[in-house]
Amino acid sequence: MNLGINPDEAQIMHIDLNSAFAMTEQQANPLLRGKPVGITNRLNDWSICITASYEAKRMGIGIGTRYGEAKRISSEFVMLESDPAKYQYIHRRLLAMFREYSPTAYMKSIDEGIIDFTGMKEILGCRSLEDIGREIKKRIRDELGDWMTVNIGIGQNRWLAKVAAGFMKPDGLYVINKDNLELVYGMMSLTDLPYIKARNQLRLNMAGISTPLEFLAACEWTLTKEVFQSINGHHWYLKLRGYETEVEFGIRTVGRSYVLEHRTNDPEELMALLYKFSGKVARRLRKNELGARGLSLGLRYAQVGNYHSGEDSGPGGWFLRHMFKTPVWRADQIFVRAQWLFAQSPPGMTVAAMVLTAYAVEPAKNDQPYLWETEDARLDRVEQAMNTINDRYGELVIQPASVMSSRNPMKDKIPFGTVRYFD
Amino acid sequence: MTEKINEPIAVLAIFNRDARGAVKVIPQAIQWRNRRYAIGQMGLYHPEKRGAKRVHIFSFSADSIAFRTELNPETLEWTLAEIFYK
Repeated sequence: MNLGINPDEAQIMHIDLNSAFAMTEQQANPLLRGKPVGITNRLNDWSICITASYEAKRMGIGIGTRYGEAKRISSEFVMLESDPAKYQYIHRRLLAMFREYSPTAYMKSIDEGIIDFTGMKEILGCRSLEDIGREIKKRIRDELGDWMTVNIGIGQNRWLAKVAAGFMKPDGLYVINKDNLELVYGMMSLTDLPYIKARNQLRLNMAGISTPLEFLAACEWTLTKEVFQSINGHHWYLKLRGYETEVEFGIRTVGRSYVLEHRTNDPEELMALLYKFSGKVARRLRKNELGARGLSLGLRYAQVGNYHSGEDSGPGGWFLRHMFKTPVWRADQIFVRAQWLFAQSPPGMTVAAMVLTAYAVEPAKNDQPYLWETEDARLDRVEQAMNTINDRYGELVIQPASVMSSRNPMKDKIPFGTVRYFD
Repeated sequence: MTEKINEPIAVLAIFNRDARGAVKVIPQAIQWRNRRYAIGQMGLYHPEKRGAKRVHIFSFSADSIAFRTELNPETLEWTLAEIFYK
């Protein structure tokens, strides 16, 4: 394949909030504006910054900086615990606003939105997308708050729109089209490109590609066979030229991860946590009327060392997944499978973090009425009743007695990367 | 520094509609522990779901304190949830 740059007009807009969570906290609390602020999921002595304000970033405080270290860098630094209700509200308001411009608007993550303007030109009175971009920026300041700023990028595909959004940070608005595409690549390094991190950079370097312009000039064969050794090479070949390669999939996995507030090797506490995990995953499956056959469990240990179990889990971690024959959707069913996975992990280890993910999801087939009372039917009804009570009075108001003694509350935190479970 | 308060307070607020017809509530002043604070800078409004109930949260600053207040839509009572000060 020998393809030129996509000659079509740039019709995709990417909008991302500048340091979204920290900026939202600065919007809510005017005393924090202009100050270095960090957000963490759980505020304690070991707290790690999961996002930081621009002011903090300028001082070298960013994702992964520990609270104590940040305080040493700046005595003005303020660390706050994340407040998902605030971010979800901003997310919902942004989505509603974006949908006023095109029905093909969606949020890619909690702080990134996409508007596809294809076919909207006449309806929007032939206005330029830059003009609409400026209007969106103004509306966000007027309707959400005067401290709220966004980066807006416009491109021929979603990836280029994201490149454009990151090109003039913070508070930027930039268009990449067929006329300036190569000029933009000429001003960037490989790792400035979204999704090109150290590992991909190394792969490209090994094929003699060390700049975005060389990446663009590489033939499809080189990218597919030599660099990425997969269909990804073909996608990169198209993406770099402004052709769309990103396809929206439905839900493929439903999972929950949690960093323990109280690290433990107590089997009873770990089982209680595993049940809570199973309950959370079951609730998300049920909300989306899904069941899952596959289940994976990952553990991160407090001890340093390598604890592999068949699959690559990185140092200090353990991971196992299994595809079961039948789909399940209830907490007690998921718990039995999670217990089976857990039983194969090294015994006695102190667990610092856990992740449980249901995969191979499919529509739940529990809509058939039961002719006779079965144990399954009874348990289905018990779980539905518990969900109804929790919906009305709040999460975890009612829970199995076996998990009540758990010292780890497992409150909902920021769902990075996905927005599928928002109400 | 953030301090949890959870005390009932009196709030002077304007209830109005914006250009798009949505109801806007703009707190003007609060009275807490026998002291009045005129709101200096509005921060953020956001709702928070607590089970089936929705609480309206208003954050703003007055003097050198940032306030987080809650309006219960069922009882129309205001609560000062927390304050932040340097």
